[in-house]
Order: sequence, then C-alpha cells, then structure tokens
Amino acid sequence: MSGLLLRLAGPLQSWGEHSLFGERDTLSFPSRSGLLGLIAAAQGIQRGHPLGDLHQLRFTIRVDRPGVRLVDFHTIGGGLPRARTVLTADGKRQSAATATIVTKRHYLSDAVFTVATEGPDILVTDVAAALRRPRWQPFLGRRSCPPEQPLLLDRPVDDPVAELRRHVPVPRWAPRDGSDLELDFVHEGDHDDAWQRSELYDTPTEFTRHDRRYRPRPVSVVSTPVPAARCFGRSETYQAELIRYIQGAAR
Amino acid sequence: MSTPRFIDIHALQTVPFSNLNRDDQGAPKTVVFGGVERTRISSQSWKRVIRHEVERVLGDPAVRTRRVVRGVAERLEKQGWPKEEAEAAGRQVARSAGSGIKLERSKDEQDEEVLTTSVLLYLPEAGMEELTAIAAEHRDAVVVEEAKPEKKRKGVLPGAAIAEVLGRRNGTINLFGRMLAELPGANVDGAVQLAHAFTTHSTSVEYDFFSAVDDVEQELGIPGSGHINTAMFSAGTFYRYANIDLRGLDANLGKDTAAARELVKTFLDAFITKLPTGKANATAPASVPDLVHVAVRADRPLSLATAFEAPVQPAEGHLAPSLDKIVAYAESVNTLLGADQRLWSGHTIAGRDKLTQLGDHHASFADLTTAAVAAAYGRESA
Repeated sequence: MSGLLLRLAGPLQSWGEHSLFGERDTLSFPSRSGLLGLIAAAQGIQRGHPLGDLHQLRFTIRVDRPGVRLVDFHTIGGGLPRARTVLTADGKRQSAATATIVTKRHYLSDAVFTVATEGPDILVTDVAAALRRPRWQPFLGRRSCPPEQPLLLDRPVDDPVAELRRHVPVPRWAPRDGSDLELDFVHEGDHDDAWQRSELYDTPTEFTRHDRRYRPRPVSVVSTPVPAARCFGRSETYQAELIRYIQGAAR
Repeated sequence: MSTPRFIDIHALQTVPFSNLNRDDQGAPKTVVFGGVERTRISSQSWKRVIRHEVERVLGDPAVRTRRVVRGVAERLEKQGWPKEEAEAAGRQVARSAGSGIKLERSKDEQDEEVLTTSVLLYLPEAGMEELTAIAAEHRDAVVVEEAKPEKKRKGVLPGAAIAEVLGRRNGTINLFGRMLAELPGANVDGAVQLAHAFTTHSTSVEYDFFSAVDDVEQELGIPGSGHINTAMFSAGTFYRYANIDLRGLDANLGKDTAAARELVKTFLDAFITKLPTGKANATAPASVPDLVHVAVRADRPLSLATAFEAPVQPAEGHLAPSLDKIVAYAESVNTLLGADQRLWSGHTIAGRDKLTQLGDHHASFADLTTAAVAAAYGRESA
C-alpha cells in the first residue's frame, strides 16, 4: 500500500450529496463520489463504464479551511413564452412573472482540503500519472470550479495520513500560544476518537448519467492536532512553503 | 515534441460601476476568497453571451425549443400545405422521434392550445428544415395515420432519420455540450470549462439611491417624486479564466480539424470581447480586457486564480498590482509543473510594458488568438 496527496483548493467547490433539480446542495467536505469522479475523469473512464480498481481507494480528508457557504442564484429559461416554461406539480403553467426556473446551487467558497489517498501501489501510480496529464479537465465537484494546481502534491509518500498529521503545510495561522492547531480529519469508516459519525450515500457504483446509484458509507470526523510549525497563515508564505514541500525540501 | 492538449485563456479586465450579474436580491453576485468578499460574475452568465456571439459569428445558430410541432407545421404551411395536414405532419415528427419524447398539450402566450414535446430539444436551426423535409417526403403516410383516432396514432416517419437530426450538433453544442436524456446518444460532453470570474481585490456593494420624477406632477408644482428605490452596483478588476480540451473538441467534431480551428478561434475572440448584459444600458460597462494571456499546454489546464488568493491592495488602482501578481504566480507555478509543459504562450496588454514572462507579445487580440490557434493546430496549410 502507498499513497498520494491531493489538494483541493480554489475560489469555489461543490460536493453535492442530494443534488437534484432546484436545490443543489454541497457537503462540507469532498464526497467519495466527487473524488472518484475527479480521478475517473482524469483517467478517461467514460460515463457508464465501471470504475474498476478505483473502488479500492481510501480517502482521508484534512479540512485545512472549511470555507464559507455560498448559494448561487441561478435562473434558466427567463423570458420564454408561457408554453415553453416549466410545468407546476399539478400540470399547470405558471404566469410569465414566475415561470423562470430558479435553482439554488450551493458552493463552498474559500475552502481548502488535503486528501490522503491510499491504495495498491500500481493503482496509486496510475492515478498519479492521470492527474499529471488528465484526460478531461479536473473540477471540484462542478465544472465551473477549476482547481488550483498542483492538484496532486507530487512527491513520494509512504503514509499519506501521517503526512497530513505532521508535514503538509496548512494555509492557516497557528494558535497564538504556539500550541498545535486542531484540524478536522474525515476518515472513512468508524473511528474511536470521532466527535461526529455520519452515514453518507456517496459511494457510486458507476457514473451513468441517469439512474445513478449510491451505497451508504460511514464517515467519522476526528479533531486532530497539526504542529504549529506547519501553519503558514500568509498566502505568499504558504504558497512558497507548499512548493518547497512538493519539491521535497521541507521535512 | 509533446502534443497540445489544452488551451488556457486568462484575462484581467477592469469593469466600471455596473451590475452585470445579479442575485435574487438584485445585488451583484459575490464570493469569499482569501477571507474577503469579492464581486463575482457567474460562469453560466458569461458563457451565455459567449455562446450567442459564437453562433452569430459562425452563422450557425442553435435553437432550444419544445415547439418542433409548430415549427415544422409552419414551414409546411408556407410550402402551401393545408393547415390540418401541416399540423398532422408536425405531430408525426414528434411521435416518431423515439419513446423518450412525448407530445404534450399546453397553452401558448395567446392562450391558444399548442402541442409541445415533453423535453426541451436543442438542435442546429438548420435541423428544423430537415425535419420538415422528412415529413414532406412521407405526406401520404402522415395523412392516413393522423386520420386514425388519437389513441391509435403511431409515429410513421423514419425514427432513425429524425433522431439523427435531433441529435445533430452545431458548433456551440460541440464546444459547450448538451444534456438530452431522452434520446440515446444525443448527450455531448462540452470541451470548454469556464470559471466564475471574480475581482482580484475585495469589493463591497455600492447602494445607489435613486428617485424618478413624475413629469406631470412637476409641471403642476407638486413636490415629491414618482418613485424611489435603491439599486446595487460594484466595480473592479476581474480575473477571468477558461480552457478548451482540444482532444475532447476533436472527438466531438469527429476529427474535423478545420472546424475545430474555427471554433477555437471564435470562442477565444468571443471570450475576449463579450460582456454579460445585466444593467448594461444603465451603466455602459463596455470595457475590454486589460490583459489577455493564452497558453497552450501539454499536460493539464492551469488556472491562475491563486495569484489573487491574497486580495490585491490598491496601489495606483487595482490593475497594476494585479498584473504583478499574475506574472509572479504564473512564473512560479509554471516552474513547479515543468516549464516544458507550457508549449506556447502569448499575451496582449493595453497601454503598458510587455510582460515577457507571459510569452510573446501581440499587438492585437486578433493576432494573439490567431497565433494561439496556430500553436495548437499548426500553421494553416495554404
């Protein structure tokens, strides 16, 4: 087993769990289906094709910055004649004034997550290669959300979860008293120290366009200390440190 | 030599006091990034004006409609068909389109009953003519079938031919994609990814109190105003970004390179010149980008949004420090990813020194996009 570190950051991201029709929600951290979709798109696995070995990947998410929730007011079909507007539940037409389809799309703005991805060596090597040269554009849950690069923190790591605990730089200020910064870690499955455990329906069998099915998966959120020395609050300092980290200089 | 895989286009654009894209309160849309609020223009809003511009330039419009029945019937009536037969033919087109697409009754804007398809179709406008031609070819069969009681009527037109027309794509469908569940094989994955635009610096909404004068009351010497309200605006320097997946576009176009070149060029030009139209008449925000930077990449698309994660502080305005930031960030991230992965790059900048770090300088936007297309696809063979 070996692993990879992915960094999901950008102005906007959105990890829908129940997203259908009008209200398109987001979880407060990346979903398993979102992460698998990101990797599958990079590998060029087409919609409707089985995800194969990708099911073996295990993700541990460090919430570097939870971000701010944003609800985007998005309209469709405004200004159309009445007959072309969307039907109401009882089959009638709405008046022209109210006929526009309104959807609310939830996003996390300003969020940063670092994801430890573990799996068999061959698979992990393949995934890394795909993320370096993705077949389709990567996006953070929604196509209009391109990720910051590098998405893949490209350096060899044996134990990516330990890297998250000790080494990967954090884009936050450390506590003033110099103590460790507590960050939320989202683990798959049960965890003894969890302060929150929930069940998410976000494990896809495959990505068909319709009739997507998801299996439930337990998730545990654990508050975990990260050394104050790895916290870099100022944007430029953090970016410079991140580059140093990727290049293997910082240990 | 590595193959060009992605084209990135970045722009810094200063937009004056305006409200190009507003939320349900009428306020300019916003996003928090780097801990401060910025003005945002949603990707869907900007994409719409770009799509219309591409269609206008290429003379290749697409229609998004439920009214195929009416469209075909009107065309046949113009050819001299009696009204009933023309409408029968229109219904037949919808009936023959495949089991996922159904006919529905609804009322039009004059409250007259019309038949519409159950889904919103999206096809090149020329496709309507072809649907009409298919119906005309089978006139006799149409008349016989539509004379039967309504419940017994079936589609008698060649379904495969109709599905082929409905599934056909024009340029913008190939660029931006299409979602059509009801017709197998008609989905198209877009080749363009377009990000939400946001200001490089923090902004706050400006409240513009206004009153409207009642001219008659004014003449009569009655004090007061006819209407008072508050409108919301903002201003700023935006970072805009989009990319094109060249292989994806190629696949959508069936490897028609000449069409791909034309679409890419038209898209890049439209990205540069078009602005969303919200409150445009009230604010005249018709600016052009201050900087456009295009890169052809071999590995992955690369957004430079991170350059502005720390909000730009004004120093002789926001534009000059934004330029410094984008240059510095582009340099560092390109070094990190491997400078050889950026196969070509170029830029056009208004009224300032050339930015050598952002590739070749081009005097005009058109020169820049022409050079980008040549870098992606090779020089045009004469």
